[in-house]
Amino acid sequence: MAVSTIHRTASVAWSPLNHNTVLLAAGTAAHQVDASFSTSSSLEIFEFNPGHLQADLPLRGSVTCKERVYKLVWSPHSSADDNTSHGGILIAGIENGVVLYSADAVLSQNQSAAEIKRLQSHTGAVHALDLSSLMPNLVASGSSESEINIYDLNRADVIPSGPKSYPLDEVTSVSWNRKIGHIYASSFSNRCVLWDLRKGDSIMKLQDSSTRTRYRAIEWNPDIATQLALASDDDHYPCVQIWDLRNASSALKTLEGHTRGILSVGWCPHDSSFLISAAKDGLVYGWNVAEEQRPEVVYALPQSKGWPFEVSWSPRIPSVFAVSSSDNQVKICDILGGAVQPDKANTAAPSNLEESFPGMQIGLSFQNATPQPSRTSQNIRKAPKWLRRPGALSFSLDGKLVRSFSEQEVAGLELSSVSSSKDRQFVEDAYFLDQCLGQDTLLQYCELQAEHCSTDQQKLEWEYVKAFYDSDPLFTAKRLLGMVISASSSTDPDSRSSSANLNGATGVANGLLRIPKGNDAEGAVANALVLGDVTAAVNLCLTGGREAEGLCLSLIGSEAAISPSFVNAREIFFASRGADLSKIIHSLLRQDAQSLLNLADSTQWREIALLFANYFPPAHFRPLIYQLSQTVESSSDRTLCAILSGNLETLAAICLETISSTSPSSSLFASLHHAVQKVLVLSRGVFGRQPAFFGKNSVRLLTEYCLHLAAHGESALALRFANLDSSNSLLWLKKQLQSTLPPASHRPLSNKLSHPSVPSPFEKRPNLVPTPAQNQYGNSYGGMQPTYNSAFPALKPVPQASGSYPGVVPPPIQNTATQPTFYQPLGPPPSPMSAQAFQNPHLPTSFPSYPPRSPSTNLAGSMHNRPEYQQGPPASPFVPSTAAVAPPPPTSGQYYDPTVQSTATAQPGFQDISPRVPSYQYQKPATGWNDPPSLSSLQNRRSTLSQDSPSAVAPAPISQPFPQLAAGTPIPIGTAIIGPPPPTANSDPSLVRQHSGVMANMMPNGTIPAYQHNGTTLSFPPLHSSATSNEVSSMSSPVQQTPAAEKPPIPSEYLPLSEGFAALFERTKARVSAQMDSYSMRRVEDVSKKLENLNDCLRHGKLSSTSLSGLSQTLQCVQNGDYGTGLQCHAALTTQCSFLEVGSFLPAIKILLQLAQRYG
Amino acid sequence: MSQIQVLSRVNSGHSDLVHDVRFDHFGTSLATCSSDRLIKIFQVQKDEHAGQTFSHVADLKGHEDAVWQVSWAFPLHGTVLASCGYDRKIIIWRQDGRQWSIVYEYVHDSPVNCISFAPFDLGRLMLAAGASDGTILVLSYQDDGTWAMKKIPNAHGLGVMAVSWGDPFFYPLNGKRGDTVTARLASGGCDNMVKIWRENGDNGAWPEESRLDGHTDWVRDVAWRINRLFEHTTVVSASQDRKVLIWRHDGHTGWTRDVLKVFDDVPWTLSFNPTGSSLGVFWGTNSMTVFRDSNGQWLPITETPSEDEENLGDESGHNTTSFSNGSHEAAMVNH
Repeated sequence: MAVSTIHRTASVAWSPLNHNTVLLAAGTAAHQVDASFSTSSSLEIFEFNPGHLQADLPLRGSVTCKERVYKLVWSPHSSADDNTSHGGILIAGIENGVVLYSADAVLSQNQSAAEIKRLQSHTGAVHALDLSSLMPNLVASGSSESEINIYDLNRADVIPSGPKSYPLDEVTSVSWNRKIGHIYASSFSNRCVLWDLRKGDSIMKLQDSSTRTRYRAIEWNPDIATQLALASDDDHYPCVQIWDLRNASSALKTLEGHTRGILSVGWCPHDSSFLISAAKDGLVYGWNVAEEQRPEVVYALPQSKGWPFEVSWSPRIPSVFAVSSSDNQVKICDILGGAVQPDKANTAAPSNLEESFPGMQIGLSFQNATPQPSRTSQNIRKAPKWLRRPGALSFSLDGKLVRSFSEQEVAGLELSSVSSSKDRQFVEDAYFLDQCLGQDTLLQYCELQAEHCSTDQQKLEWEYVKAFYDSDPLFTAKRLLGMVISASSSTDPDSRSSSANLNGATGVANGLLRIPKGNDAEGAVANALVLGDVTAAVNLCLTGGREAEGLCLSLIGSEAAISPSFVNAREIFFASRGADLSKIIHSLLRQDAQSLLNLADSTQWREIALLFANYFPPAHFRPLIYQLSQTVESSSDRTLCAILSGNLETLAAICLETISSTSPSSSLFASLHHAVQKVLVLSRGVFGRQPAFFGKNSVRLLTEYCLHLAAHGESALALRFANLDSSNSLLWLKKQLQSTLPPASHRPLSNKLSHPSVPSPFEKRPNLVPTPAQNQYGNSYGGMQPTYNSAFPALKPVPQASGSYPGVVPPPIQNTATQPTFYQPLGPPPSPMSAQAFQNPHLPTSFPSYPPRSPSTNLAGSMHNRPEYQQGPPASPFVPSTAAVAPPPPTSGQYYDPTVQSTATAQPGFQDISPRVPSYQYQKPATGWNDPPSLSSLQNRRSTLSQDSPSAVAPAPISQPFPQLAAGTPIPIGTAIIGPPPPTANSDPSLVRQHSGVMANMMPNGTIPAYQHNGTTLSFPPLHSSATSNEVSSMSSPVQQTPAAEKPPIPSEYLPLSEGFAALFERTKARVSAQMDSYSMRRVEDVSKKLENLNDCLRHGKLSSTSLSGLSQTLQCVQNGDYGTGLQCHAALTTQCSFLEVGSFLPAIKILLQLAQRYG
Repeated sequence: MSQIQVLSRVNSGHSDLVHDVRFDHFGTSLATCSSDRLIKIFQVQKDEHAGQTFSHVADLKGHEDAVWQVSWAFPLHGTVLASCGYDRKIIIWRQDGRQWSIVYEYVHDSPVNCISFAPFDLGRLMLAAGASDGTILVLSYQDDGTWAMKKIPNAHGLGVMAVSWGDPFFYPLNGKRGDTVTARLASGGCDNMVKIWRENGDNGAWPEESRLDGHTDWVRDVAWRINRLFEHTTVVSASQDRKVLIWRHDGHTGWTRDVLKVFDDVPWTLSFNPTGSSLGVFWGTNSMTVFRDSNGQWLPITETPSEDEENLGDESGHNTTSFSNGSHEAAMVNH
């Protein structure tokens, strides 16, 4: 397909490869005359720009020349004596010799400098002209009388080419071999003579005696040195012969198809299986001349009226060639279609013609008489070489790389892993963070980070984050804020007396803009105010001549008791006062946060924050700080504000900005890790073990973090981090990560992680646990801030007694009243891992010790229990980050593999921590982390609530929506039901035991394949037609896999188990309902659903013998009324059995046991 | 030190040159396509003990000539693969159970050189393809189950060689990342240009947004680095001029250009890893270089000009049906 046209009858030459722009030189062709009989001739250069294809090539320069051109070539050579001609030299074959033109001169239209040299070396017309592609200084030319000259552009001299070939005949064509520099060929009408320049003589003659040929054109194979094409322009036998010199007796193959003599051939330099020929029949054919195949026409241009007398491939653009024809056209064609603008081509042509031939009638022009088909699919039928990518490569999510290769005719695939030891630190840091998240040793983590920070700012940030883990975050926040303001205030954590701070602070206040500061009385008052010491402020006011303010101030906090008339008087008084201090006092008195925010000089945000902390309801503190953070300009202060307000999104946004704006030279991994750890640790501080809902920015950070971890081959770790978010935004990331994990086997961690560089961090910090003093703060502040979290809607406090927690709960929980959020019944005691590791070093302590309490919020669980997934994470218990790490091994036998054990216990820093944490020292032997608190540990608590002792029936008051009701009404129903268990529940323990034994024997292997099948086929909903974004929701929306109606009966051997639990459930349900504890009721409902999972597993025989016997034992204990042992059995189950196997119901059983225990 | 550790080498079973290989979004399946007109699907064997290798699971037959490229849709939409080839076809395949079927086929006017599914974050099932006539085709799946097509005619004179979807979070118009996702395409072709196209949200047209002029020969591949963190964005382009260029946009002022490397031979394919921290370049006839972003600089890790030939000799003995597990020698290199 023609993409551009030059309206000339011209011989053309492409610019050599060293030109960056593709140019086309056209010299007016000799032996042609147009309708005007003009004899003028010119040499023109056009530009062919693939980026801006035009129907008519734009002219870049032209000169007129004396003679018309038979043949034109373009050498990149710049002659030694003329350094200016970088554009190369155009060599034109003319009537009796060759002329050398400077391409630069043509381009600059410099008529006088254009002609460099004129060689009248021939006696006839020079039709034959070729430039050596290997030695572009050598030009061969041929004319009549067998004259062949070699001209050396370097020496500007003619090299004798040897004796003439006899009989004397016209040289129709010459061609340099493309592989061997000193070989060239010349064609005469009935023979082809090959020459060796070094010998200065002919070396071979090709002649086809069998057919009548008249050779017109010759072209060497661009790839195979011994092959050439000879075209015959004899109308009776128009053909192209391919000769191979290795067998020179006859042509190798013959291309027949043209109906009249062939004028020109062009062998595609970029794909030697492709050759084009142009003939007097007006056709241009493309041939597939690949070695092993029969030659066939694979491409054809539309027939043209005039003779296409010359074809020439662009040396640069593989698919493009030019066809010069005698109908006043040079067409630039693309064999792959190119971009054609047929409309433009057809309309532009006539006008151009008009310009060229002023006064002529357009009607005379013939080239547009028959409009060409605008777009035919004229693609060459065989895929050209230059489109064949030799290979490709691709990365997988988990850091693998695949590439194709071809060797020895084999198309292979190579899988490799890309690793970088430089990034190990990143992975190790992530492991450490994960570990601390899993163990709830985040307070220590914060301390460690603060200690190792390079800058004060970062240290401060970590101190602020740490505040969330202190017994009283607000108090710590105040202390931190005050610490900066009062330079002399002690950093001793015990210095909690505000008066002490005040004493230290009054002297050293420095002048600030809005909130008065300084050594004067005003500054002192302000300072006392800021530090929350009202008494001191009042005193200072009274003694400093601000009696009115002082008196008003003394009434702060007792607004309700103040008479309206006083308020009026106060308003009037303050309206008359213009001083900053008075305004501030006024705002405080009126609880007018907005005016403070407006008034705020953002550089004084600390002072304002302190005012908020001291004089506003604690519940408002974080929202106010959030508002304040909007006004703060400095990014470091904004970070502090964001942390202080517990606003993850703002923090994440700032972190993103920081990462984005940091110079590329700083390590991405380091800054990413810094950002993520801050956000995650803060989120745990804010949300506790509640599922955290991350916003857009946090999700962005976390996604990137997880992807990087996965790219380091740490998909399991990445999945643990991804699972920290319970919104749906990371659903797919989780799925992706999940799928990269080996099915149902857990990764040996220690193989991947080289330990030494992980510090055993906490050794340096002996004071890991909150001191009693801190606990006291917790007490003193706890009581007055009951609605601390209520301003944050994402949190739905679950009313529950704090007493259900053992003494080892992390600091945030110790402030019981301020953060009700953290309290869930049966909540996980933190750091089970370390506790276990310490107490039971022989138990494997890695993943199996993290069975999630409920499968509902982690991915592994969602495979079984998809219905649960979306069902309101706030209400559902949070799953520890480590829960879904990797599914525990499929069989218990594998699990007890000693190697696994050793790798599992060898987690870095792990052993070092536990012994040093006093509170981790359980008195009780290893229990699951979600076991109920032991009595001994409870004794460490400052308050033990009645429900923790098995004998206590009444739940803690706070946990009850209607405490009076619950406590005060003994409820007849309750007493009725709290009796002996229903008969069904009394299913014979011996029977169960017997069955369990049978089961253990009966199920050696059968369960395993089924189970593994479960693990591997991570089924994603098949995507049906409506694939839109709402797929996401449908993905996670309840999908009940097995319709209840079609459930087969439970095999009889499992019936006791199923019925036993059912009975226990019914009993417990009755009792719970008797207590009218709505929360517990909800849990009971939950349990009923999960028990169905157990039944399903039993139905399909999916449970291993270990699980079955464990379950039987548990049931037996419970039926005997020994809940403690039952729970122990249960705990053993959680560690011994694959989570995937039992995860769908085990947590439910535990809840059931605990409920039964509590109410039983 | 960074290194590339060969885990296994297998015979693909293709009887001609393999033009494209693509991991799916899970890294568990691999699609390959070849001049033998076949697309092959492989499963990555994750067995830790037997080493990692591929097992052939399916042949997709439907193309009538060389298959140039394949692309996986994000699995949100099911297991969906698109392919394009010299037979001018775009075929969209879907796996149901173990069966693969053609769900859509389009025959263009000219060979289709490249194809790419839009990233997940755009929220739509869309794909872009580039053809030899210079057209870029953007197909998007409609709610009624049909595919709507937008064309960018004459995107690259003489042919589009590569398309790559843009970083959806990159939004230089207001200099702020991430508020909305923007559908962008980078393309390269036979006009030596890299062009950036941005979807007009109002009418779905794809006007040209930027023109990155720096190559002196055909652009063979472009790859847009997806990242969630940086204000700036990066596009790399590989060209017949043996250069790989890095184009960076800082989110405010415009595109700047750097040379990643001038190779000894043509760099054909570029591929970022999912985090964008590694860039693989397939160049010459059989060579590969992987670069890593090391604090803003791309440093080469290893160049592997086919080292273990004897290993391959072993492979070549196998026929198309048998897949060797490759050598385990690789597994012991590191630990």
